[in-house]
Amino acid sequence: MAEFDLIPGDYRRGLHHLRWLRRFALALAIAAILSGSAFAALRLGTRAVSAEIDELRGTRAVNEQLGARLAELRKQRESYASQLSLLDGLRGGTPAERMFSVVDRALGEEPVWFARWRFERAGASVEVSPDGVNTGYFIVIPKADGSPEQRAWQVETHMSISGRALDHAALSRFAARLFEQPEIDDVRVLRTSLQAQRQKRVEFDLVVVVNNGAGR
Amino acid sequence: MKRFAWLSGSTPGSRVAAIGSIGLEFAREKLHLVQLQRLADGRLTLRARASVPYPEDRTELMTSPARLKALLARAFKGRPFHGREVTTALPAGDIRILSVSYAAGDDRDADAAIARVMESRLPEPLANYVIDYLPVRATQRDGERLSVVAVAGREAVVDYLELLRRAALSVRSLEIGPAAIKRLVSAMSDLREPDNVLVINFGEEVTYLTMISGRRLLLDQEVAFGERRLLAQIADTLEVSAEEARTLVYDHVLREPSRPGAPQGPDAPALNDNDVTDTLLEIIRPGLASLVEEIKRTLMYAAAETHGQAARRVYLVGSLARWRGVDRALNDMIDIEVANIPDPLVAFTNPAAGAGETAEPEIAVATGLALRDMFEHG
Repeated sequence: MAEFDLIPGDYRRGLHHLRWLRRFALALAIAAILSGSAFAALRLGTRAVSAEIDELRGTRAVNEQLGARLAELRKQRESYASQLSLLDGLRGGTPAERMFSVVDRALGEEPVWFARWRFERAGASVEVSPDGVNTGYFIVIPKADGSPEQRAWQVETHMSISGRALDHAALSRFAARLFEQPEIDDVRVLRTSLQAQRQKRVEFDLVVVVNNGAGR
Repeated sequence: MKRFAWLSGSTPGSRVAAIGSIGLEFAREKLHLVQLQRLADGRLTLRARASVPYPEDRTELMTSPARLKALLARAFKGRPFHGREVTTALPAGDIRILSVSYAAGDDRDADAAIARVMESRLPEPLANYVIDYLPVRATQRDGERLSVVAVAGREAVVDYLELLRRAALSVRSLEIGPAAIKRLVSAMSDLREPDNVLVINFGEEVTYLTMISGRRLLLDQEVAFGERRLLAQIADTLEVSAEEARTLVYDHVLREPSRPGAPQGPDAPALNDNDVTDTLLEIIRPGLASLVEEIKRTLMYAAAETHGQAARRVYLVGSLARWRGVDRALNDMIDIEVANIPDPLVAFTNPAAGAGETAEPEIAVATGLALRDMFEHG
């Protein structure tokens, strides 16, 4: 049913536009508030994360410092271990007192007398050749920083014995039995001579190279 | 009440299916607001109503959105009004309602034809006015059509709409008082046999005769007759001042004592003081005679427009409708049933909607305005 309506069309349209403008403004305001809140929240979150990152960076720096210190200590320990190994090597080998029993076992009933007996442990620094074959007891020396070559400490233990024997045969048996002992690497007779006296005893000088790996 | 079968009290627990806009009318002394709702079972009930007296002169109030807002706050307080959308009518002084005959070939020509007619009748360019019309006679007779045309100054309309908007109201429709009365009367009538009804809306200076045929508004005519003229007549006859005459009427003739400061309770004068009432009615009878002449002319016009169907009843609305005996006096002077318009809210029994407020015939316009949405929805 048709009814009167005296609201002018342009006024109604104006109100309609005004209403839409208000809604738009309201939507904009809400969007701005939401954006602002999101920005603030992100900023807050970023600040928290940045603080955490800074903390982690600090922790990492400390860790790196500790790691470096640890590596240094490890290096030092290795150095000490090497030195200990060197010292062990130098202190190692067949003990001198054991040599008495070795020599006593080789001597048996042979008519041999000792006039002078010297036990010596000596070493020499030699270069380790990767391709070469080295004999003897080597202690590898820790490579020095910047040193291009690897060096080792060749340890040699020997006894120098001077004495007399009833005859050459007795000396020979003694030397042979000594050489058979596992603690002995080599036996070298350096000199023999007959005494000018009546009994004609044989005077001798010999060197016994001790096996440094044995008895350890 | 059989006539109000479509209006009934809300049943507790009935679901509300639709709520109409608020019918708002700036009456002479009070601001009337009525809001209706339709229940799920199709019945209409009153949701809320308020009639609040103006704290100051109406003209002053209508220049101040802030004061109107405060008055509305008073009206809304404690009442279950829903929303702030209103259907309202321009105050009677701001609008002219004319019956316009024009020649038009079809409906599309009607706008232009009415515009031509109005251009010749109005003193200012048409752009300065807001014009709307309703066809009364759509069928051609001698190539002429007839419409009821409402004209209001554009500035007055926009000022009124802005007043309401700035008072935080949203205007859904702006119409005219007679259309609201027509809607109310149509709704009260038996739709199978549409009545021809004349509604007389008494004002202080002028009176409006609104002729309704079924759901059609046939005519709305302004007559230079009002309460003030009758009060002047009483004052002249009794040789008292106009103010004393008004006091006399308020104390002895009105159906309810509404004069501010009027005595109440056991000391108040008896309202059924028939001698005083009869005397006063005898005094105003010659004045009523001039109105009766206009009524008879209107009824003849209506009969011509409705092919001889006579008006069956006359309803009284407005200030003089509150005068006891005016209906009886008019009934004696014209041969048609004259009665005050039934209280449109009497059928509503929703206690939450404003129980305890005095029902007034003046609320008819606001109720008719509130009905607009209900008929559109229903």
